[in-house]
Amino acid sequence: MEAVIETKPRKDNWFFKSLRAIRAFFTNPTTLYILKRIGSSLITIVLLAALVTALLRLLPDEKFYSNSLYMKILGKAGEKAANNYKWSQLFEAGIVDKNNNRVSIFESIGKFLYYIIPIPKQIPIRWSADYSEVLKYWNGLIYFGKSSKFDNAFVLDIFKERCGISFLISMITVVFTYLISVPMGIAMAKKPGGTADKIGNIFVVLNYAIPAIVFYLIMNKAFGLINIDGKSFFNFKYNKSNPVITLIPPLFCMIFLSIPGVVIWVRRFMTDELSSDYVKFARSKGLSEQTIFYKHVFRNAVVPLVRNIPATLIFAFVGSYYVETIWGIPGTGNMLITFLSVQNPDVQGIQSLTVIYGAMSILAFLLGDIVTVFFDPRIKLTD
Amino acid sequence: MAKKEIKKVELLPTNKVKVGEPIVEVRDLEVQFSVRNRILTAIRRISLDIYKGEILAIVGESASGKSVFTKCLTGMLDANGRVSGGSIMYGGVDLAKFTTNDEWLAIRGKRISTIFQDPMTSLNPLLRIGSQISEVLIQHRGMSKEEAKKEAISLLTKVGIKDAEHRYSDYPFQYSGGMRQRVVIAIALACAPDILICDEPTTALDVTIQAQIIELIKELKKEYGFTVIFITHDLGVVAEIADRVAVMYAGQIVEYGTADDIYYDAKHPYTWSLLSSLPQLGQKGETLYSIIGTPPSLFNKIEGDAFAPRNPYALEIDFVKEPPMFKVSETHYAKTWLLDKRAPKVERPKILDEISERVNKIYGGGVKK
Repeated sequence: MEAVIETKPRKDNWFFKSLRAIRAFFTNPTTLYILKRIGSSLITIVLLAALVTALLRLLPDEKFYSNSLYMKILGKAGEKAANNYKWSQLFEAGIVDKNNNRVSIFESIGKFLYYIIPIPKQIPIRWSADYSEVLKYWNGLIYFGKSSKFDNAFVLDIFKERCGISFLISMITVVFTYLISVPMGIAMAKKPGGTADKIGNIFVVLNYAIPAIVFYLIMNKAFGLINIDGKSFFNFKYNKSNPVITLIPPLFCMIFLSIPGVVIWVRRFMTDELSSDYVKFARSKGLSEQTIFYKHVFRNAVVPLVRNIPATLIFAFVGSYYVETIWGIPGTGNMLITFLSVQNPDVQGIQSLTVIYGAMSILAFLLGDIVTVFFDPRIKLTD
Repeated sequence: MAKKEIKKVELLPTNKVKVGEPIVEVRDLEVQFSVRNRILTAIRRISLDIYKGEILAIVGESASGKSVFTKCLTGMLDANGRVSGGSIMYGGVDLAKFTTNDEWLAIRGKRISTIFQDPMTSLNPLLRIGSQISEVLIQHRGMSKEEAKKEAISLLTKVGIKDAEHRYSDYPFQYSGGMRQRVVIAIALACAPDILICDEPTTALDVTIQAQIIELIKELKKEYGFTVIFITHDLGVVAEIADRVAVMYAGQIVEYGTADDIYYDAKHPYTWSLLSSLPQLGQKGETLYSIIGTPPSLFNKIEGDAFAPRNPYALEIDFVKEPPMFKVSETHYAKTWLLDKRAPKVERPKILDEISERVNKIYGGGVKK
């Protein structure tokens, strides 16, 4: 028997329509899953921020000021001036507060978390060399601190200014890496043990065997800006006005070094699929090898490949510090190197950059998972 | 570089072959594999006729060469295997002489189809069921996409998929194991082949689904009139389906005959052992019969009868000289020296006398007459 339920006629004006749409969106299991993933990502980022802050606080105090400078001031201007220098440096690193009392690790963590949790806040910023005076307030949601390098600018501002070129480089790298690696992996998988496979394997092994730093040293010698011995063969330098030519050597390096990592996976996914039962059955159906290879095998091998693309992009983005240093490209890769300087590391810079990179990586993996849904009907993003 | 010449295979139509006449004639077939620089002879000089319209069951333990034998019919041997001797005549062509994939395209799927063991992995998990059926129709029967879709839906209905129109665009993971095997059968039948090779099609399925699939194959056989080669090691299934049975051991056919010949009048000691070890014959409290020893390694040259070391009835000559095929009746042949005039009289195991009633008890219909 059919149940007869009197339903009120649906109100069909734009307001109710959009209301229903919003409700459908938020009760969709996929949306819920993604929201959940974002939630757990935020927890991960908080833990990451706490961890990096704690680790930085474990560094000895001497890391944050120059002992020779301290002695010099001590000799010339006396103990008060020397201590003044020392305290100011430690204050900058967040180790002491403005009354020269030591800040506990938990207090540091709490403070940094308060900075990065997106709530409206006001943060006092000293603008002059005189540390007793507060001249300005920073207003906003997420505060990533001020760097002691890069002319005392805000970390986020430096990042914003520099991420464009880094992103461009990593984008081009990923596109070309896949454009080269995928056909190469396919050619290798077509005939395992054949000529193409052998040549490809030699390339991959050699590429892996040479340490990246050695490769960069060679490239530096040939095309770099500054050398160990002050000479360079071509003396390329990144030039903003002529980016196409001047970006060729760094891009070549990045692409060259990231090809084998993709090639071996393409080859592996393809050979995996080639040895599966459904390929045997497709062959017994009388399909031509060409059809089997592209319609069945490649189609299936693409799924795990696509999933890795966002992660590859982020790794290229984070890992571009060598090329940026060698060719003087003002990108984000440079930032981390500068922040991490052995003498006088930049605490707020390191903290903030770690959180930014961490957030980007988590986002990349989430994006990879979401993209997979469009390529594999078996995967549903639900719990 | 010279253009590669594609050899056109001129297959004669087989529809003139009458039911009961040989459609495939295998003579002295030998298949070798090279495994780590050693030669393994998987098939040792098999000769067999396959008659049109019959259901031929090939039984034998694992690694006896059942699958390899049928793979020779569609050129599906692994890359390290090759037909090293003999001939397979089909449609006026010697299939054993085929070398390239292009030649096989005229046979595979079109004339001879195969159903594999595991329906869970036979279908591409990422392609829709429908497209996996219609790609065969488009390739072999030159249909357009719409025609192929129509035909595919009718095929799906025929193999017992309900609501085929909607299920056409489903993915394999939305199907159960039994339904997937039905789809595999539909694909195999798409081009109305002459011969359907069933390579243990029910081994991966549970018993009730097994029975359904066997019933389906029988029904479709009646409708299309194709020949079935049914590989299995389940003699119970054989009793239910087969017209003729060939027993394989160590790369050879040691005995073949009608299902009755094999079940009631087996002559080869290996067939006796195989039948005696049927679990259905076991009585509560008795130890179930099992064949002692293991099959010989096919890397070595085999002297005499391959089964001799495991054979309680072995004669001295079994270790020296390979027995020929002795004719028992018009339909029944066995490869054992026990059939020689000079051989001592040997009684077959008593347990086999009860086989018919015990099989009857289990399968109801029992061995078909």
